[in-house]
Amino acid sequence: MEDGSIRIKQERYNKVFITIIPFGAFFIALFLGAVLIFLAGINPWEAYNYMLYSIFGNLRLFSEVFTHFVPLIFCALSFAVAFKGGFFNVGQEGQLYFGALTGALVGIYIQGLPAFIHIPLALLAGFIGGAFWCWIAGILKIKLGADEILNTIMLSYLSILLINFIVMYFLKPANSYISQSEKIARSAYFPKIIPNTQINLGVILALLIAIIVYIFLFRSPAGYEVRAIGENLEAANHAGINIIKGTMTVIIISGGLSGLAGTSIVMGTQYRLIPALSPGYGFEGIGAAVMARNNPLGIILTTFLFAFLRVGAGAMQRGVGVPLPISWAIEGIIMILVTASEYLSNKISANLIGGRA
Amino acid sequence: MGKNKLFSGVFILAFVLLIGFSTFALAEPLKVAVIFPQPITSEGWTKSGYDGLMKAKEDFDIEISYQENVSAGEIKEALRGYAAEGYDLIIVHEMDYIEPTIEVAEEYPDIMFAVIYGYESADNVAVVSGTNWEANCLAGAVAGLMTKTNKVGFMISHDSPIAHEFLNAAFIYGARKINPEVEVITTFVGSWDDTVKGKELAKALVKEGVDVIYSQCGVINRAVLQVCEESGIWAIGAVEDMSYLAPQTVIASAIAPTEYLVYGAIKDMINGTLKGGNVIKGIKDGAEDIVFNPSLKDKLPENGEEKIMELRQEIIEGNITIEQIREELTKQNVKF
Amino acid sequence: MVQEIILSLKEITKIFPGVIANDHISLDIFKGEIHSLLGENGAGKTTLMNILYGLYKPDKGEIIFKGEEVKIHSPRDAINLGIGMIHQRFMLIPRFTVFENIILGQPSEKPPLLEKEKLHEKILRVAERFNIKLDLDVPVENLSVGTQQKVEILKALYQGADLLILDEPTSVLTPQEAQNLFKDLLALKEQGCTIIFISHKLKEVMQISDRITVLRDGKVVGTKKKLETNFQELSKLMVGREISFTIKKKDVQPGREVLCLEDISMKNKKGLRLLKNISLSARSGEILGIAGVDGNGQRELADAICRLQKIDSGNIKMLGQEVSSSSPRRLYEQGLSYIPADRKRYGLILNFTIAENLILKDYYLPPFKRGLFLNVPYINDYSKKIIVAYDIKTPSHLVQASKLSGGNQQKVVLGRELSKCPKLLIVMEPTQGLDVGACEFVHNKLLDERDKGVAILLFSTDLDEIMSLSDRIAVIYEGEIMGEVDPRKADVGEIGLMMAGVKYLEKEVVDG
Repeated sequence: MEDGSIRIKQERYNKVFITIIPFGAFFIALFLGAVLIFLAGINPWEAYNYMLYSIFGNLRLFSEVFTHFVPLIFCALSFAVAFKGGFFNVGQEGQLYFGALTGALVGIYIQGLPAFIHIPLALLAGFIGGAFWCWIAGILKIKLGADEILNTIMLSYLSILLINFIVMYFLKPANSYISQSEKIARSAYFPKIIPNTQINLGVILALLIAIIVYIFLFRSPAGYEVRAIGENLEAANHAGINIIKGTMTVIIISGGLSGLAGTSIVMGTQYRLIPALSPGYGFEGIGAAVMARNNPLGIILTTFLFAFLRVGAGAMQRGVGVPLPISWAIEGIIMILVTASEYLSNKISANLIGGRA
Repeated sequence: MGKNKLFSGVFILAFVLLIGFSTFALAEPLKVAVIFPQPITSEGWTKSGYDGLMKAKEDFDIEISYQENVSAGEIKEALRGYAAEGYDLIIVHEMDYIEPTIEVAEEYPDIMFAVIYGYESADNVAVVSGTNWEANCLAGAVAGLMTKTNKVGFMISHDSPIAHEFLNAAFIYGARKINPEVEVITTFVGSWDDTVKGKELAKALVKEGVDVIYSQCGVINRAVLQVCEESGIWAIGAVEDMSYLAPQTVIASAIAPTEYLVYGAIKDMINGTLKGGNVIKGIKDGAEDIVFNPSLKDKLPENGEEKIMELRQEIIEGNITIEQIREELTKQNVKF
Repeated sequence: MVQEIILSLKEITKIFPGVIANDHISLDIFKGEIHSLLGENGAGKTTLMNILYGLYKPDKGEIIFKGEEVKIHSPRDAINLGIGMIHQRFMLIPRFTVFENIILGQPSEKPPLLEKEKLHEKILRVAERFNIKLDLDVPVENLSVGTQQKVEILKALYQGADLLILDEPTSVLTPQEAQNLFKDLLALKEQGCTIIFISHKLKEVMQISDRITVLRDGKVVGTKKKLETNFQELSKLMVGREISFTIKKKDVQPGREVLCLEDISMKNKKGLRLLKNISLSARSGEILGIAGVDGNGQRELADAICRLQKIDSGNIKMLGQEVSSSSPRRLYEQGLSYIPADRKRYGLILNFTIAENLILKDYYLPPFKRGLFLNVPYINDYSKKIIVAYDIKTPSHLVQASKLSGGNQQKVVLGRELSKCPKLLIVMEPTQGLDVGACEFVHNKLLDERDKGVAILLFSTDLDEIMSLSDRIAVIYEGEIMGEVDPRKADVGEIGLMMAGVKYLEKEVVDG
């Protein structure tokens, strides 16, 4: 998967192992989830069956998967790009909100544009918003050496609360009871690809950008630079690569992708800015990225899985009454096991290849 | 020719079977779903709605489902999920979700939606809410009954037309009905949860000589209760029976159990009377009422309870309406 | 002479997928001998010792220790049997004192009490017995590398080891420190310790061992008594072919001045002087060797020339131009090549493929770039060419650099840096950790470059290397150039003295 033709072609067994393990972990997690469901007094087989049938048996429900898929994929790509560049951006959630704000502002206050201008303009605004929020953490790291993990996560909380405040005091229409902005202009709605479903322009955009990120990372000089910095900062420095410029590139792209996640929710699902915009896409995106070993093409697969599970959790509750906390627990187990399997597969490959000396 | 006959025979048979099956399908129980924004375990509001659903399940032949903890970002998905799964009535237990509900309802014109305490409706979206005045009127009556200083306080969370035309008007009317001498001091807190401000305003009311306070301000109600307890004056509980919080202070509570809104909506659906638009449930539906604190019943003036119950009966029978109340008060030149 | 066998390895086999690391290795170690395991990198020495120390499980074979067959599942088992291992990288906690490091991981005799005084006493007794002089109360981070090694040895002895395994112990030491280590090892031997000494350096193996076992490609190719063998025989066993030990240098007339350093000084953040008034010049077609003990300002000097670190005063001119306003990239474009010391850290990106590593400095330039994208077909062809030209042993140019042996990794770096046709080449420790064959290759490549007219600045702590390659030698000590000598006239003692610096000698006297 990872080899663009100047990428490694490792021993095949090793590769197979590394790919299989996270999925093995995934199925173990599903099994443990089944145990939990069973303990709640529900037939797990029936629950899982219902999940599959209700989602695949109904195009409209199936299309709901994509409402999660689009923001998740942007968040996962955001983490992956940053990770490849050695910048641990875990503030996707906050950047998502900020991107949603800037995107929504363009969607609401610029009126009368044709869609083919309004949509790119709003997306650009969302990208800039997310990039700006990530840039704050980046500049703190570059200028002061402040740890970006802490900063991005703290800035996330700040962003979420700030957007809450802005919506409540500035964007809420005066006559409205509810803390939410006005709707964005029709011209900024993502057009639907399949009518009466949630499959809209965002899906194509998300897939396209995943491919572009892949090409950027593995086929472009700038992406090469980013990866070099991420893999070995000192060697990159010795090779004359401008570390600060490279890191900034990563920060902007990573933040911008998270911003697009927020904008895509506003333009594709909610059509307005609301405070509870994301049910944790940022954090789930990280999980999906780790599961895909930060490969943009793998991310398409894993985010789909996570999005599917999200809809599945709702379906299982509606259909057979699996309490939501159990679905969260299953999701948590999947995250933990898959992340742990990353460590495991590293260890296994180390043992198999061995230290030859 | 024989072939044609055979064909028509098969057709007729198929048609009969089809009708048979569809009647069989019609005989299937009604499918009802409720969407809650909070976990069903959270006491009060959500729990009450859940109880209503459970009660309906016991009383009627229906198939039920619910989804809890649905955030504003997920509401459309939950609605579409239920719609796609063929539910007949989908109840949203949160007024903030009215707009997404209307949006999804447009996609599914054959399904009935209901929003508890909504403020905007559509052809297939019913807004089920309390009267906003019946229980308040009785609370006012209790206040008028209990006051010795002839000054009672009414605390409302937000200033709005509904607050004046329903809440305040009904309360004043009720108080004056029992005690024409009474003066009602109404304050607007401007918040559902600023308990500090709520306490300040309650204390200010006490200073003005108020000896009964009725507070309709969410979380603030409990803070007001404290002030009443400390100052040794009467309090009237709101939304739930609050006598367990301050057994020596809460003389009565104007309750508004949402369980009867959920239950009522389901009942109307079964009776075929649920339609888009406003559906109002009052005392006669069990959605509102006044309950006295049993341990303080001896503190009521003579015939006090009877007077209140008389008024309650008149409301149930429809002899008093909110329009009449407003007219009356205007005639008497009482501001509300 | 019949000797008691303390350890016997029988038919030990360890297979990693695709590689047989140990192929039916049988080996007897006599009690009280110093037995060297000699072999190139990748010959299977460390794997074998890791099996003995319980870090790997052998696929086949048995271990007989002190007459009994033993199964060693973990280092703890090995320690309990009396086997101690001193790793290449020390397993010490810098902030802890020597004492704390030694008792670390040792169960107390009377838990929960620690009884520090008693343990202190016990360690001193062990140290005395083996004649190891150490101050137990100094934090390890304040000790020199050689002394830290002593701590590791004392720790193993304290744990009751009578068989010590030392994995490439001299690779981190100065020549002087290495000699001190050898003295200590001989003293241990006299006390009845058995020592397994892992190395790829013929010279020290010949100096210290009683017997030598040579490994090649995971197999034992011979066990020799030191007294009955010689360099030529051992190196032939090790590499499998004849190696020439004398370097033939052509006479080349140095050309114009390529690099000129005038009065360079550099301080670190704390204000400590790292470089003091250094003036040097290098001309095309000559190798200027910079000798010195590791950590005396070599890295700072090299980095300063490449503009990777800023100098506080002085001038650097490359090809007659002042470089102080240039970026490293600009200098590389003008004909500077830099091969840093720690190739795994500074020279290579280990998780990148060979191909990716080969373009590390040129990826942004055509023809490696085409339009917005990397020119993948060109990069592949180019990599294949370099792999052939520099004899990099790898199945493909798409193998990760981390999967290569040290020698092949260095060839990748050489291939990248030399194929740009540099005018000035800065090389640091080019043969560190390399086996004999790879050393020969690197040395020849450097001489080729010199003959082509490249000015080479060679930093090395290996005095032999400096002596045999350089046209001129400058000695650096604590950031200062102690003097310049002509390798044809100077003797090693003289250079060694300069490397040590007068101050260093004084210190020794005080310590002693």
